[in-house]
Amino acid sequence: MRLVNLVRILLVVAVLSGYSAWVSWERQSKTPPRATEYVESTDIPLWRRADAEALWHDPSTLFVDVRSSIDFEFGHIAGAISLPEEEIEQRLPELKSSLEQANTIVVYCKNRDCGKSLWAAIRLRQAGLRQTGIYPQGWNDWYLDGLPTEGTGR
Amino acid sequence: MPRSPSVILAVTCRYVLAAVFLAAAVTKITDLAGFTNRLVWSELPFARIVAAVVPWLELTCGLCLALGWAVREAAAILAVLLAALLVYALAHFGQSDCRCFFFPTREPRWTWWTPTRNTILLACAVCVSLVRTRHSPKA
Repeated sequence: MRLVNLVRILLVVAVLSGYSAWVSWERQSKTPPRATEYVESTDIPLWRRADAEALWHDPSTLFVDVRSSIDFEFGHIAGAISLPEEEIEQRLPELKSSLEQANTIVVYCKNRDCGKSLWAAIRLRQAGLRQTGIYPQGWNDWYLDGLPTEGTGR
Repeated sequence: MPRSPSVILAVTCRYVLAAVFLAAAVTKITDLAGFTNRLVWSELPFARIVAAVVPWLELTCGLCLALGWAVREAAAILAVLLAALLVYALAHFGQSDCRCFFFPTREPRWTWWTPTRNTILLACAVCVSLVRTRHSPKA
């Protein structure tokens, strides 16, 4: 085994990793999270698909799926965590430290007609998570646009 | 030219490792943001650094193994990586896998899957890094 080969491999990895991290950072800095509308009479941001997609590319964003666990298992936005709206009170204490680390929390449900995301966002903001907003078009919109998903039913 | 069983085993392990790590690297590199997100929210220590380095490490070592360049060195690096992943998998036994390996659509329910997989791959990497498959030119 030759030390020089080990160093060469690690140098190639360092260059590729550095370039990749730089490209990711550039992309993030050019797409700052912003809302185009807000829930009426509140400062809760409503993100459209393009905004949600830009936020998804930022690793400091956490997507929170408030549909049922069965729906979540079947399919969800890649990287999202499951927090069914009915279980928020029960699970919020254990999840709060993780949620606090997120720069942005995007709550989503099935589609615009699903009111769960609004109630979940209100509850999270009441718990001090003021970085919470809503992606109202939710799972259906994300899935139908072919954006990254995970789950057993893909 | 006749080859000893240990050399045949090492060559087989080399191509297995190359296939596995190239597939794993492509899976991660084509979805770097998703991979980073999964690691960050799994509360892995130094998740962002790991997410930035591991896919390219897998790609580089996988290519070395596939192309036959610096094979033992690449296998040694992968052995260190696999040992670290094995320790992590055992320390967090029963937790879900990162699902960033081999384009899975669902992870096995078997809780021993991750440590078993890592142990087999670690054995392959150690085998490749220890067995000399080519005659070195005489000085």
